[in-house]
Amino acid sequence: MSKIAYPGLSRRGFLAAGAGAWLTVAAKPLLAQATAPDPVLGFDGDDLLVASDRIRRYALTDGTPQNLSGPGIVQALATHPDRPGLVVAGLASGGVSISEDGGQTWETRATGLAEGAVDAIAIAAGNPDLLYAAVHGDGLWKSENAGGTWSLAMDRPWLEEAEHDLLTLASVDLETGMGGIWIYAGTEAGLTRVPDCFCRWQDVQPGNAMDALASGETPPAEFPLPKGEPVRALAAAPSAPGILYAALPSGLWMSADGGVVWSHLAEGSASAVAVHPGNADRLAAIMDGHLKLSRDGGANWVAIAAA
Amino acid sequence: MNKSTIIATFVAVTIGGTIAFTSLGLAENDDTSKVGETSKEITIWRDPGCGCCDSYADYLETHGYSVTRVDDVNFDERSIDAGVPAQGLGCHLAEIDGYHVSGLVPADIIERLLTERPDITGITLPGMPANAPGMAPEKTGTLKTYAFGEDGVSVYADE
Repeated sequence: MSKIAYPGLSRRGFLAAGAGAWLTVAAKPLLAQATAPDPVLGFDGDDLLVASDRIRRYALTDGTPQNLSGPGIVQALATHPDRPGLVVAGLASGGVSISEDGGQTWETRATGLAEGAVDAIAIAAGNPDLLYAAVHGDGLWKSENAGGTWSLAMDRPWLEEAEHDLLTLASVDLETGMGGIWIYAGTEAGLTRVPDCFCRWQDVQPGNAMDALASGETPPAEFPLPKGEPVRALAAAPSAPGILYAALPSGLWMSADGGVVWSHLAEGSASAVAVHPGNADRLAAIMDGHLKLSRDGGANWVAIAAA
Repeated sequence: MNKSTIIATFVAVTIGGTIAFTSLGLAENDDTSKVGETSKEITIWRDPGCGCCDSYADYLETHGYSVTRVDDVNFDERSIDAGVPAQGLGCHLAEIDGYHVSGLVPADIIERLLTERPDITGITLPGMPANAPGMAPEKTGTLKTYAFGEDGVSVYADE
């Protein structure tokens, strides 16, 4: 496989972008090396972080790309809108590495965390010190002190007669009815979620479905993600609770109601997605190996390309 | 009627009345115990990781139930097989005296079910409401419980 290319952002292209796009230049594929996982994405303020065996930071305000020294091979990435500069990375070698300065410097924190690759990371929507990490072959772990110490929160979900690893996590700021909010997870067998009190993994359901059944009215619409596809990446919009994006082999999908009804946003095998902390319409995604951006909720996409 | 007869009659009536009243009361108490006596043997199938399910089982035990807890990671499939609508699954499945009870249903609603014995498969309290027993020590506020069976779904209790 060819080496991953992280081409720079074209300032001219960026400045020339119209209302429906940030950039209008050709893309080069971001094909992963055999030794490196597919890149993962995260917004830190207006900057986009692209991480795999190295980390590149794109300042989308002026198109400046910056190479950063990463903590190792990164398999998962999370940031938080309330704490600019905080970047949490899940490492292929195990453990969680945390940066407080936007990825310039890193500190690995794994006290109590099970050994194994960290496949997915999330930061609780309302609490930047509350972290979640999915350890491959193990389960979902949490840290209430910004990664200082970790404890097991939940076993892996049991779906279709088997336990499944978590490929991606998202803290979704929607009330569970149990005094907390939801954690959504993508697996090889599809989407699942668990309340942050960790009662049980469960499917996404419309809230008033039983009343519709009881009254004989038309039940609320449901349009789940396609069955049989892995949910490789999830992104919840901090500025608009309920808006979710999902990256699947069939493309990029979006839900405006917490995952009850999904619509297909873009064709192409999607492996990563991130949403801007302050604007749910500003997206970054990797589709068919290309890093693409949209600033209109996925209606139009443009690719980050070599300057 | 002479005085002694009157007294004797009064005594007899009083004693007889007392005996009859006492007997009636005892019989009444006996009838009450039979009518109000419902099964207290309940089996719960739940995800072994479900903490609120264990809290709910503890709650039932404090209300006089004998609870058998069964770990079942597929309790949701078991629930659907039992007839619980997929849209209204509770956080565990229970069986008591021929009925299925899904979720954190308060004890008084279970008592009502077993006393009224409607022609349904069971009842469910969807999800895990924060004010339900198991999530809280006792029920507070209002909870909506649904009946399910061959005739479909209806609201069983909303209180």
